[in-house]
Amino acid sequence: MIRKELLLQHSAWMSETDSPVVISSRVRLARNLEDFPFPHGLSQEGAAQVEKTVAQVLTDTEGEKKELSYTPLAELNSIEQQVLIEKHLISPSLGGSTGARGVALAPDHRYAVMVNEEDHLRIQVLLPGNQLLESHRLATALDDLLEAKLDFAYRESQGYLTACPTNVGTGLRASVMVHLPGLVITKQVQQVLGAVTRLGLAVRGLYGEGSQAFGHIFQVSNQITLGKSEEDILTHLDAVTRQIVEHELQARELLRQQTPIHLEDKVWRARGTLQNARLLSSEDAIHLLSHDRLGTDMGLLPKTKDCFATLIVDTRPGCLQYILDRELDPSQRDEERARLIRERIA
Amino acid sequence: MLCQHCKQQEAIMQLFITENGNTREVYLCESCAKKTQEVSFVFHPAIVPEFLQALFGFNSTAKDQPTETACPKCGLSFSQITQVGKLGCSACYATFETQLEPLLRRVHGGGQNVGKIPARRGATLIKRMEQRKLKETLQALIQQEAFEEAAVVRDQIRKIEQSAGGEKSDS
Repeated sequence: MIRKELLLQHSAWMSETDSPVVISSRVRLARNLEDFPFPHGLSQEGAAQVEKTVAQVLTDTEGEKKELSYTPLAELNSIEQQVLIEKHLISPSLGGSTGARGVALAPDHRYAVMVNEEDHLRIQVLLPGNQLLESHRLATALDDLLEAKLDFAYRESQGYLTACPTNVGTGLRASVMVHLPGLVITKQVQQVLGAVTRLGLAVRGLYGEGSQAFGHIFQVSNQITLGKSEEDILTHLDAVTRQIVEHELQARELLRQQTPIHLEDKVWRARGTLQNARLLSSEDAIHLLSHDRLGTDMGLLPKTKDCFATLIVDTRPGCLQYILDRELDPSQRDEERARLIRERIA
Repeated sequence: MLCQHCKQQEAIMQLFITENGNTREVYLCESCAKKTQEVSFVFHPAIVPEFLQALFGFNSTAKDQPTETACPKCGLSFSQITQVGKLGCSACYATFETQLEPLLRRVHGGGQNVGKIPARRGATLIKRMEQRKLKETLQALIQQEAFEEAAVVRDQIRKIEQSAGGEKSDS
């Protein structure tokens, strides 16, 4: 697969599912090679050696039909790196760093393994909807294949050893991306998510900082990685996620019953603007797409041609420029973003 | 961003403070955060390294000592680790086990690893765990006077002992 084709590929996690609230699930396992210092302490040669060893093993999983292809980040320009970040396939810190580092991707981006990020390997699986258990099953299977050929740093008492002690033990960070417009509009989001943080889980707005979460999209993930089994971590996050979904659906029902005309007005205004606007900033687009998605989820609006996650990602600055194959200044981006949405929402 | 409490130091942590059922968000510097009790927190993506430095700093006594142990594998001292907020290599975990213990307790709430064991490198460990579990089962069966089942379990334990990796062959 040529690079452009691979990067532009529709990522599996962006597919539409039956889940009205959980957009996607992600599982990440942090692993390090026993014989090398952690990435931040590696010499240039050491980093190159780790990259070579790991990339070879990663691409040697063909028999397992994983079809991972490895791309060194040094071969990608800044827009291509931006595309990977916007699709959540690599972290911003991997993109921003220098030296021997890269990512192994499956053709449908279900697997994305970062090499020489904070740890030597970050095995990630990303799936649409609430599929935490399935994501973990796939990540563990890939981990087993890699462990057969690589010596991972491990101690009986502390589990998998990681550069940062917040990841030690299982090395597992599981997260769900949830869309919570009902809780935000009914002003219950702080209360619900505040309760979630008291259960040992972390919450953050996906776009924008702090409580300014554009698009009403939040990421909920486990904090504790040591002293609990993978199963416990996943079951706990899954149970809390189901509770969040329940609260969100109740909030939407409340809106439907108490202020139906305001709700209809909000979602139809969003659809009208998306269908007709000639300039849309990134923030405007996310905000309106969120209301539009609320409308389609609640059966108030006809479905759009492209789904919510695809439209959000494809209208981010990096993806937009990459799809159109040219560099755009911010005002040109606003114009092209509005055009792309008009075409894809019809 | 400045600390919202003292308004003098740079904020390094984002805290969610819950009082009377309401949660509010505050950004605090290290010393104000130290004074705050019983808060639930989430990481602010941009300030994680500083947050970790602070966490290490909370427990670090090593930097006050005149001579420091260095990790035999990567050469880092505990105060260097404290500065970076990351360990240097896998051997650091054994070298600085004592210094790390309070930090790990603070982050993870204490407790030993109960997660996945690598199949190839942990083969011996897997056998030992299996053996321990069987011994517990054996004790329970004996107490229940279920001697027939206990005999089956005893044989299973013996089988593991005879193969490489059992506790007997380890010693």
